Amino acid sequence: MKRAFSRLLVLAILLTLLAPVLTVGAQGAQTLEIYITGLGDDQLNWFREVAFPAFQETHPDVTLEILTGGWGDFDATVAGWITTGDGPDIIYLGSEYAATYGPLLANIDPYLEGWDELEQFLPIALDTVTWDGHARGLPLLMSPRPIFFRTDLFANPEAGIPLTFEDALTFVGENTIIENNALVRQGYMALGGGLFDAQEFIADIWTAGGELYYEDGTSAFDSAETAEAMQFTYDRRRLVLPTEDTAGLPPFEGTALASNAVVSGIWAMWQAPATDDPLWDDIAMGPYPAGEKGEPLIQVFIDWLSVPAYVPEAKLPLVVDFLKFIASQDNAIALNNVAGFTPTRQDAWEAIREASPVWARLLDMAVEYGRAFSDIRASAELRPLIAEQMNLYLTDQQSLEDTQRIMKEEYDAILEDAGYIK
Amino acid sequence: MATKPTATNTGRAGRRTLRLQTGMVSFRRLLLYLVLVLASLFFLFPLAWMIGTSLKTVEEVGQPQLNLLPSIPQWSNYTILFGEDPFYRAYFNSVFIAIIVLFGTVTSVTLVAFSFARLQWRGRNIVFALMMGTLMLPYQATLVPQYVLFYNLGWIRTFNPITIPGFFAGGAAYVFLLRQFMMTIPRELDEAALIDGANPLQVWWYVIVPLSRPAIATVAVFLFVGTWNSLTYPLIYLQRAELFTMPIFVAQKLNLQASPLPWQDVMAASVTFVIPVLLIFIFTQRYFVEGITMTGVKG
Amino acid sequence: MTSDIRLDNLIWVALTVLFIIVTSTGLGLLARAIARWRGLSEGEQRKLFWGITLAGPWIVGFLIFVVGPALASLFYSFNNYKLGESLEWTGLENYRALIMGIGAHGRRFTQAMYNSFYYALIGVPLQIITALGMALLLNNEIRGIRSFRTIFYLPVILAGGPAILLAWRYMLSANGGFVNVILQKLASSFFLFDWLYRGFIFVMEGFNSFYTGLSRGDPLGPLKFVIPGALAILILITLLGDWSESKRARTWGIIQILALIVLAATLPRGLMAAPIDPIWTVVVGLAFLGFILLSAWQGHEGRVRAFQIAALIVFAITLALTLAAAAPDSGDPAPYLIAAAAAAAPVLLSLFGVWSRRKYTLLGIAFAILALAVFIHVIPGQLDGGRLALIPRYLTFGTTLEQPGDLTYLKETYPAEIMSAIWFFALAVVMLAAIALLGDRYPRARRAVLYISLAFFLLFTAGALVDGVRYFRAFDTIAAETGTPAYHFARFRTATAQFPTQDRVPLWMTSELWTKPSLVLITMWSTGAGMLIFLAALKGVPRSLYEAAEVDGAGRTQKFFKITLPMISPAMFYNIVIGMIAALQTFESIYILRTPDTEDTLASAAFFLFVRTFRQLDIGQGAAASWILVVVIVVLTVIQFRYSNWVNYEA
Repeated sequence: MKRAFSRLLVLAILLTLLAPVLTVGAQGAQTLEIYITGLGDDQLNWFREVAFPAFQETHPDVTLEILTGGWGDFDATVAGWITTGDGPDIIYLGSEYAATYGPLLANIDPYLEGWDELEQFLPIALDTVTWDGHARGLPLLMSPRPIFFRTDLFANPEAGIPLTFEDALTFVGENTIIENNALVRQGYMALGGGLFDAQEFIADIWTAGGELYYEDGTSAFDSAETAEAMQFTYDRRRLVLPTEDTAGLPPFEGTALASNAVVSGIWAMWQAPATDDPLWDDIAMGPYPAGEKGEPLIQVFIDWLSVPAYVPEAKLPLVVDFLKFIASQDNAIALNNVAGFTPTRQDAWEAIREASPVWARLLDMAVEYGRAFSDIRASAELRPLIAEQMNLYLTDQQSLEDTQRIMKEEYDAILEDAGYIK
Repeated sequence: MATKPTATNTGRAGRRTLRLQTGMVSFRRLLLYLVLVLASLFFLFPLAWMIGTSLKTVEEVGQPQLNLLPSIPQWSNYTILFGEDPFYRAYFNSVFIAIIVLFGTVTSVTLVAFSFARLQWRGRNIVFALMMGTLMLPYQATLVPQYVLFYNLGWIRTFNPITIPGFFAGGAAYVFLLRQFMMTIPRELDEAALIDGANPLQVWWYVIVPLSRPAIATVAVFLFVGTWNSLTYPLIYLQRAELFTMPIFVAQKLNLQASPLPWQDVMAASVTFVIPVLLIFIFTQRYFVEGITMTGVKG
Repeated sequence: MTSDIRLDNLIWVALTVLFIIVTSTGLGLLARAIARWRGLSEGEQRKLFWGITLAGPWIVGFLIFVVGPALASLFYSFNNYKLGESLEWTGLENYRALIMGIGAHGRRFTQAMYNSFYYALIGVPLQIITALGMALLLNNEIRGIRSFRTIFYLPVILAGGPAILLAWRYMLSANGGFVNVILQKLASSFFLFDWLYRGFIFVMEGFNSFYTGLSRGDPLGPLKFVIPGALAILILITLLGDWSESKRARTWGIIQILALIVLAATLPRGLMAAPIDPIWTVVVGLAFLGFILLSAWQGHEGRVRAFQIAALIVFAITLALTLAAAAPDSGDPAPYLIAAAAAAAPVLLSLFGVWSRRKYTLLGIAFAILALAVFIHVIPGQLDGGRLALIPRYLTFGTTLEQPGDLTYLKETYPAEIMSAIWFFALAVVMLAAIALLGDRYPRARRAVLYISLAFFLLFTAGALVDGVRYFRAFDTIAAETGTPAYHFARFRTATAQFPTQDRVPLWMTSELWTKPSLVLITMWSTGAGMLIFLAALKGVPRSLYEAAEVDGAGRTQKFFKITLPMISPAMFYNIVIGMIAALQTFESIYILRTPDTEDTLASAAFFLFVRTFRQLDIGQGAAASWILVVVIVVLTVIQFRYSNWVNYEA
């Protein structure tokens, strides 16, 4: 018994020592890994079944693979790759990530040199994928987010689309119905279902004629334009919720735009009904209203494919080749057909315009009013700061002046910490 | 024992209370059922909503009103799901992981808890305190260093980071739970066994494990539910679609770029996902609610 | 492909099992060898071998999977470490920003801690009561009980996915949601229910808005003295009547908790100040000395040794840090070294000799001298400038407000000028110690001190309360005069301005006054795990005990409190400890349920550290936040274990 046990022990020790040797796998040929989060099976299958084989025709010895995850754990996973310096070669990112991940992404400018198709892309799209003056990837799709209006629900059928802060307030007031201390119809709803959204607030500062930064790079939250945008946001909230204990709308599944309970609001196209829905006869689109000194605009969000800084330099030409391939005119059109992506290349728009008047209108608006969420510095810190401070102000817990002062002070501190202010 | 009441006294009073009690009992029972049913409605609502939604059409899901039940059950939501390869793959992966984790963790946790609860050794309290300490470290704090560790072991994109740590008595809370339970077992039992010449390992297997059955079953259920539902670690470490588990599969059904959101598909997947846990629970509840063994020892 | 991965996994599993057997046995053998070398008896050696070997799987796993990552994270916390950049040693900087609440991140962390405490101190007791109630319901042997058990456990099974939290969002929707519809139906059915319903809204909004104000850092003014005052009164009342052994023990227990509160409220901030005042070394030494004396007096040898060792380690670290920090800074290390020596000397002294009367006297005197030194050192900063005048004013129901019409004065100057409430915790400690020391031999003196303290705290608290009301009123006066809100406990003022009207509903997931209660409600709903543990424990209570009690004529309530509760106390203890830890680490539900509007009022400390680490990529500060959280949890858990004598094993 005892002897058997000791023999087993010796065997175990040997096996333990051998373990690393046993499990070392063989390294494959050149593989290209693309991390995509937030897309559905249809979209992913187009990559796997159509795009990859087509790319392999020109690059026969390359294997391609899609890695996926969820937005929830996206940040932690990326942190793991960056720390170990080993991960996918291309990462699918949302608009504001250039500001967050900027220093962790590779400069691909040298490989884009002489690629004349670059001028086909919307300039605001290229701005979004640029950090510190260099491209960090290529734009894949865009999502223009205008204000949608249900014209059939207008309290005053004669009313046009409001283009100034003043008209917008009148409009929201007219179209909001409250019964028994609860909302029955809401004149305006921000992206995400609330009455205020940090990104939209930034756009309101722009339409008030202001900017986020002064020439010297410090925060302009103490500007008169910011105050105007804040006052507008506050007044609009009070028109919808006269007191903070008014109950919101009843719950609805599906899109708010089709709910008959919301008259206007900001959404992405994928939150709106399908473009062939007859409801579109009663839907109008407009830009964000402007203050006295500003111009109306709409925000355009760009999803893009980025290249992390850990990708070895020798591999960069291949990676950029793939980016160019996916961003080509043919594939941009194909992605629009398969997945409903709006391309950021203008030479791919013709087919889309012809297919649907809704899209045609949206594209026109993107060109006329579009401003991208680019050059937002330290965005990961800015968003919660705006949300926190504006909520205090909007719920009557902090004065407008104090809110402006705190936002300015703390954003300056954040900018300084991140190296934007010397 | 306190003083016994006199015989005559119990006789009369006892008979009266008996008659009273039969009336009381049925009323009490009725009340009990009422409370149970009301509470059940509260607990059942989300499941009802889940099943109801899983049988709706896309249009119904998108309707502004909140209806619990579909007008016509759409069984095709399920048949489509059952026609998908990734569904079976994810299911199989989940089952595989759950079995391995369950086997490894239950065994090791029971051993370790036995050592903490029943063996007297120097430094035991310090080691136990350390173990409790690991509970207090929020897992987010060590995600990055742990990723680096698993990377160096070559475990990224394998099942190892999810299954192997369990073998090292992963889950201090389970050890603590079992320890709490094992400490209530009368000490004479293992002392008797030790005097009979058994070694601690034999005491563990022949005395303590059988007597701890309710607690072990409880731990097994918790463990299974925890592993079956876990999303964070699999998402971080698996990364490849063919390694994905059911929670990831369900989460990915939630395609944010679609309108209206395909809740019926998400819910159909969720229902199939919940069934094994339900079965396991129904099957094991016998063990932890009987508690006959325990009562037998103590009574 | 996948099958390869599975095979690989199985190989690793087999290797792991072998590895665990080998290393565990190895550890056991090593422990035995050390025991032999230390000259322990054969029996002890054997026990150690088996104990370590069987606990081995955990020990080995701990060394591999926990120690390394934990040390790495601890190391990060002392660095300015942004993801992808190199580390830069910044010492306590990360901790300082968080503990002192500096800047946007510090403020948000403070609020996250407030939220976490809400989940732990309000959520956990409610969870335990629900779980126990459910278990008691299910512990009836009636037809169909199995199905009910399954139904009651359903929430835990379902709680894993975001889908179910979404269902809750619908149920809790303010307008037309399942919960509110039922509440409103009930309210409109009977006038009494209506008053209850509105009363519920009033109380919930009043309490939560007050908590919101607190967590945002709005000054309480004189009201802050009510907290130590009321606590002291409660404690003193329980000490009325004849002195007994149990009262003595209880008093010392309370003294320790109060001392811990004083330490917890002062020490972290004191240590975070830059440069650190050397007096804090003395305070730390004082605390250790106090605990050593107390433990020795109560005869806990092990505890005395533990405190001595801990103190020596702390002093060694202090010494090393002082020398290391002083060398490059070329600052003057002398005051630090003197303070450290003064603080360490009595602790060192306590290592030698038996615990005789002389030793107690000697150390007691040292304790008093050190305490006096701290007191004298602190007075100029804390108690001068007429701050102490506050006490006679309150005792005579006077006011301390000098310019009640000035907003800046009320909001900033005044809160900074008045005494810290900590002094009254300290005062309570001193008075209780006097009572406990006098209690054994001088019953009259004890009674005198008790009555005097009680009278003092009663008058003082009442005075503070009156002045506090004045303070709160002053803001309303200013607001009425200027026509603009005073922004002080703003939501509390609106929430309590009038009794809710009939058309009011709880705004569960949308209003910051209801988000935390919503989360507590959801955790109560999914508390099936706790229920299961109670159920298993209830099944373990022998029927014979109840039968015996029935023979003795015990009633239902009596049986519950005298038999059931003590018998399931190990399960209760488990549920409280684990529930508290889980509550302080709440993360997943917040992650799914938050909206940009409600994120700040929901965010727990764990959520904060997640955002800092992975959203904002500041790994250093994220790690610091997690270690602060660890310390808080450890302290709370140690207190729970320390006062766990109500737990009844082997009943």
